[in-house]
Amino acid sequence: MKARFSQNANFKDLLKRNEESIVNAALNGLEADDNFRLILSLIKAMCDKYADNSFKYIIISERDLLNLTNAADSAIEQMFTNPLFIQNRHIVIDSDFHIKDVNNDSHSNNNETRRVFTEMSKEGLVVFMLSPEGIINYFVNGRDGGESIFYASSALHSFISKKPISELQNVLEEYRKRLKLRDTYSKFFVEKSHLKSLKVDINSKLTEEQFIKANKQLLRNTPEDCFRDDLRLYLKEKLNIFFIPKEGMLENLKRLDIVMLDEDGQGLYFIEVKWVGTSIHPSGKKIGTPYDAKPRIVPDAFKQSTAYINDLLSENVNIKLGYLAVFDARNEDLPDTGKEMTIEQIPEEHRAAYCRLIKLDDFRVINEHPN
Amino acid sequence: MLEQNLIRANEDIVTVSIIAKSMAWGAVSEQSFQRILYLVQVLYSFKHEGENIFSYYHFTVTTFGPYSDLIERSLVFLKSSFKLREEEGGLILSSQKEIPLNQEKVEWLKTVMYMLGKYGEKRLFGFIINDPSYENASQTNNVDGIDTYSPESETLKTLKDFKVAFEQTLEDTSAISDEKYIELYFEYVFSEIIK
Repeated sequence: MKARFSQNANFKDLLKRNEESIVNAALNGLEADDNFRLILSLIKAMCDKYADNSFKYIIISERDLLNLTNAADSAIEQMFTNPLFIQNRHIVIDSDFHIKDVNNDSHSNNNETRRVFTEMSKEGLVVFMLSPEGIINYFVNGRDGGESIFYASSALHSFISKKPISELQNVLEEYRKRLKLRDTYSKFFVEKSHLKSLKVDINSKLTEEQFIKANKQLLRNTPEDCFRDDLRLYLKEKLNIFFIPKEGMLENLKRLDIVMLDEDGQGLYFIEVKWVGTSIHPSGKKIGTPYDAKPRIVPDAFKQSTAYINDLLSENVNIKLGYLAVFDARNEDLPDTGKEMTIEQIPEEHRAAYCRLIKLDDFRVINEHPN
Repeated sequence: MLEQNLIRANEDIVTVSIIAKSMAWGAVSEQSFQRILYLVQVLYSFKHEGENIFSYYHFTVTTFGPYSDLIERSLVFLKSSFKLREEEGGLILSSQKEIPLNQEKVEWLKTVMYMLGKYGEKRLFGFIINDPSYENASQTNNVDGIDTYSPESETLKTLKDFKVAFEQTLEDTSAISDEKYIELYFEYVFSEIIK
């Protein structure tokens, strides 16, 4: 079993701290009513469909809420598209979602808003508070509900601000900037202390300083793991997508470096991570083989990634796009590693899949200040 | 003549479509049908005694969530007989008159779907990949499929343990219904999704 709640002292502390709120919510019959859950679902569906950049407060009597129209789905849509609804902040509705009253009053601050609505909810009214991010809070029976005991609203706000997969390329531009930070790039390269011992191991005639300068671009062993993990962590933080961990991958996906599903888990994307440059030998005592754009990237990586896409398509997997990300740690600034790629280098039977492969501009990593 | 399980699946899918419409979800994707019926089945025995009334579904793990061949066949049948039509990248009901619905199933489907509705159709996948039974089957590459309705299923064990934590901690839990525990559990899972 994944989590043993009953043996988790922190979890139990959390429950104890929120005992009153949990019990009050459970005792409130209205919140357990199907119509209450239905109206929350309806408002959520409308918030997802009709984005609004302002706060809205929907007010309905408990009696009307318990007697919602059978045609609530179309009625609420009419309400959300009604100019009166769009223009105003407070909207009073009846059981048919007809707008009975509106106003645009604003409160001095968030605490004041909550106090007013809590008071209103003691008088047989239910207030649904919709934030511009589509977060729904409610006030019912004198209770400020809707806030979860399991997460802070700040966590929800930061989750909502994550970008969809369509923004991947923009997010990667930001990542490029991060690669220029010492904290980021230094973890890819061999440390100065190791370079010093390497100089001795390979009997270099250079001075220590010259040796460090000449080899500062030397990558750690298995740099693809460092690049992949760093990129994956960054994307996980910024994108609203699902990453499939290696241990949860089915056999057909295990060979892919980074596998992502879009926010509703319908389409699959992958990133194949490669690198060019030189890494240290696994023994740590000599310099490994240098890798350049040809043939490692052009055509090998392109052919390999296109073959993956082709395989997934033939397995009926809903593969949308594959990306080829190359980390460039070569000593000089050279043209992009994908520059000389042409479709003719892809086997004919895979060419239809090639249009789904996007070569990202190289991720240049420079060890400006070796650690 | 249609086999009995296909008739049952047809009823369930029509019911899901009707409830989804009432929640203003519009067209429901084929994946969502699989995901909803999976959750409905795997959660059923937490609240109900006796046989699982959705036991005819056998789910296996795929990258996109649980998959039941019976649901797939039912979707094909309902599309080809024009009971469901494709629209906006999903399926919507053309007519709901011809299929009699089982009230007990309607109630449970409604309960689970309304609880999920608070998060929206797009969030269904998050609840799936955080479901203990699904997670267990995908990590162990279980070729027999997902254990969704035995008393030993990971989801049931987790939910029961979740409830025990409340019972051990709070003075009086008599007001908390099993449905409320599921609702609270979903809230907990959502907190994991947004981490």
